Amino acid sequence: MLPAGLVLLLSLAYLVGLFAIASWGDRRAEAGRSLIANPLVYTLSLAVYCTAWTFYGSVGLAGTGGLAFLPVYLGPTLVCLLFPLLLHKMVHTAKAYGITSIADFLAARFGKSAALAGLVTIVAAIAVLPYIALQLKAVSASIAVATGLSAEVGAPGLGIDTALLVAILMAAFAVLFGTRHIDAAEHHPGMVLAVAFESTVKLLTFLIAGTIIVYGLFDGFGDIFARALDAELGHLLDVSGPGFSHADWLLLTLLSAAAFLVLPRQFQVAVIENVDPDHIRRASWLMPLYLLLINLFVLPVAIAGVLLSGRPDDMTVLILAERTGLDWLVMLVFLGGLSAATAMIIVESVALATMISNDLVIPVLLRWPALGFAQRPDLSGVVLLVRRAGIVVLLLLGYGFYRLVGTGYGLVGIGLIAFCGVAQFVPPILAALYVRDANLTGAMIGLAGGFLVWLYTLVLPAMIPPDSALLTAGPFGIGLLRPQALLGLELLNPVSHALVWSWTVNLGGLLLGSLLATQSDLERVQALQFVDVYQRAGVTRPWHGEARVEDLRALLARFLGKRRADAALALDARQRGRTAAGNASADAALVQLAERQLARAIGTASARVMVASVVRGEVVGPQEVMEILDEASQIMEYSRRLEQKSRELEAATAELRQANERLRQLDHMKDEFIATVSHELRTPLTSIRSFSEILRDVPDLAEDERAQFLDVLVKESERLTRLINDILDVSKIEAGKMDWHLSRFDLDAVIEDAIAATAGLFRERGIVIERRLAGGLPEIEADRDRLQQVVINLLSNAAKFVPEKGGRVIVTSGVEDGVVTFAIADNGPGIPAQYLQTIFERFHQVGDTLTSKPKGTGLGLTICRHIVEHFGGRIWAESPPGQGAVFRFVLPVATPLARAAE
Amino acid sequence: MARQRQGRLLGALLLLLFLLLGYPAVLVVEELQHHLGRPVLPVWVFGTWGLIILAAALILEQPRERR
Repeated sequence: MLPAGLVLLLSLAYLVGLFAIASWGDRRAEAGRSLIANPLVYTLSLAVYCTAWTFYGSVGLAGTGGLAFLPVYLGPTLVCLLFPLLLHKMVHTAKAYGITSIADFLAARFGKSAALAGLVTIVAAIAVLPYIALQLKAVSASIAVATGLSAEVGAPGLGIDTALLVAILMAAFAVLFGTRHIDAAEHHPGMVLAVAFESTVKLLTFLIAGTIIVYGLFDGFGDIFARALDAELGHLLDVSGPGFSHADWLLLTLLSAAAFLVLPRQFQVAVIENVDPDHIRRASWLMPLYLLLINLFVLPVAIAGVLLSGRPDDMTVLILAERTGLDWLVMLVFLGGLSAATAMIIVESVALATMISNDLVIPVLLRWPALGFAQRPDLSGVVLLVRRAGIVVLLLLGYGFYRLVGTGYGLVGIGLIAFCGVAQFVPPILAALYVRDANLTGAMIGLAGGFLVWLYTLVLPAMIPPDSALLTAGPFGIGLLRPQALLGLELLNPVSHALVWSWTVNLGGLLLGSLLATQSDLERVQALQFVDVYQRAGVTRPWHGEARVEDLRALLARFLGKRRADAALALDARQRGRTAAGNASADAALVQLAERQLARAIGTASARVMVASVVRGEVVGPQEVMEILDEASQIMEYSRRLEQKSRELEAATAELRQANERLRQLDHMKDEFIATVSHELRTPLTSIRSFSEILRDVPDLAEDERAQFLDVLVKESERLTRLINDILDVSKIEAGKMDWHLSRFDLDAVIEDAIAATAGLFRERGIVIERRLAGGLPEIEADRDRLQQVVINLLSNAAKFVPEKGGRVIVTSGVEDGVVTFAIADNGPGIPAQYLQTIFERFHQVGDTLTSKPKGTGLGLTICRHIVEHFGGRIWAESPPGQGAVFRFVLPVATPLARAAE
Repeated sequence: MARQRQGRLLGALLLLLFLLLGYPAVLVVEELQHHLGRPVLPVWVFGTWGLIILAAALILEQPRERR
């Protein structure tokens, strides 16, 4: 036990230190060297999520439910992974439109509705007030454990309750560092720095305490877990247990993810206090790491508590710290708990007070003529006073709640009730950011419905005895309306049950309202501004009202003070190269600037009302809305057309590139063809010319020599003729100008004719030709003469390449799978594998063309390929090593109408 | 392009976290824990959690394209 005086002194010293840190943070920021402009401080400020609930309550829950405490931290991990998308857009939107709170955010999106802002504020206040009470309860309980005094005993020497003392000090802190300026959208560097410091304190103290408990009182994690199993506490290592199912695990994860995003204090630190959206990126993984570290020792410490004291307790960490006998550790743990509670109280009270001031009190004051509030020359002091009073009242109400009803509930229970309450903001927030057609009616119905269901299914049961007839039998004895088993849903724990029903009603209301009601003009404009914020932020809305610069200046001065009003207008004038003074008319941009500046002080809804009071004409009319919509659709259409054109251009470019490449290839082929043809023509021509000159110039040439030379002339002329014929054939076929004479015939007959035509050649060279014709082949439909030309060409080729002695050629025909097959095999030298494809190209002959050029034009196989392919067939060559060459082609069997059309 | 890829990877990571630490994966590990009589589930939950954070850090701290 620690002396009570020491605990009080320590608490005061800590809080004074906190004031000093906050003051230092503010001074540094004013000097232009802000300490909060880095992602680590931003992450630590987000850790305000971890309150006394985390520090004390999680251990208490783990002592009864095992790992059931974890969804509260896994949920935020889930949502952190979405930060770069979701939070980035929220921050961007809030900065673009001068948003001051989550109520302001929703109100601004749904037509700057004061009613919606008020409803959100009421829900948030009702949900969060017990949560603040929970922190005070934790502080009070921790003092009781540390000093051994009863929690109800007053602070030593001061005669007041310690929880009240903490509430008063926290109120003072929040007033000093959370409401220094009228501009609620401004950052509070001192407060954020203090919160980051407190996050560091609570993490380090928990890690130190956990390490000492786990390794000092026990022999580490393994020892604790082993003892738990021996003591039949194995259920503490499980997820599921009595009153907690796997469905609860999932639902509480979702609930915590939602709460992490929309709790007023989380919105304050994550969105309003964000100084650089780029910090979100690093916070997306640093924050989950923080959560993992702070939970690392929760389960072993909880089990250690149960093992040593025989029962779970919210104050287990403190109790075990005392068991170590280390007074400094007890003090450290106490400070850790205090830091967790105070950070939450400070930020939550500032966030809620801003909402209460801007969305409840100021709108009422402005609309209540009897108060004459709207006519006052300077309202800045009043706005700040309302905000500061809000903080004090909130904390006193929190204390009152704690004293009246808060002592009877566990830390986690109260926290989850609050989570479920604020989770009602999630459907409208997501709709605000991503669904253009979501409207105010839907948001109001959904939020109100979800809120009422939450009150009925979760808050009401927490406030009445568990055995009351309402809970056990339902209202008027209607079992289906039992608050904790609505419509007979009994499988879930109360929090999951309330979440399922409240979200169902909320979403249903949002959907139904949005479908049944139409958006107002202003709602449509705001929907566009939020959903398309990245495209629209900074774009001036059309406007055709009348306003004078001086009227706007006076309006701004009433709420912001003359100095700030002048500065804002002067800055705008400088930026736009205009004069800020005189009776000049204000343009749309200036009116919007004034509205935005006012929104930063009194909220979007009130700012709209105030600006409307000095502007003649409507700020936004149906025509303007249509212009915006038209402009938006025109931009989208233009963008779509541009994309389409771009795609078409890309495709055309690709086609042109292909065509160009093809042209280059054709050009190259043409050159190659001309060179080859020239070469092929020159050879016989040279020969003809040489022998002709000899015959002309040598009159006394011997008769036999003359005959021999004439024979050469004839042969070379024939070769020339063949070559020219082949070239003509190839050209005609390739140009599609060949005359084809179609008929139906039997391939075997063509083969026989071809063999007969080349019989002389075979006989002359002593080549044996063997027929293996199938006989009775189905008819094919083609040009008979051309096909015979193919067979003759292949036979001639075979005859050319087989050896002089022992030459053998086998001709085969057959039919298979709807095609007629033809093959001619020889026992010649065969074809090297690399030439099996190229021999069908023009002038590609196997062998060195200079030394052993085969006889022929080099076009025969090209022509064969063209002819066979023209009739839907295929031709190829095979050459198994050492077994000569085989040329094969296949042609489709004629069908009754095949080719008839051609 | 890099931002889109980062978004896709984070989405995949989110799904993975949901699968590995949601139902029924946790139930399976819990059953395994009962069968083995060893604290498998805490190791599974914290191990998976840590690995997901590591993967998120690797994805988010990649050098980004110039804007």
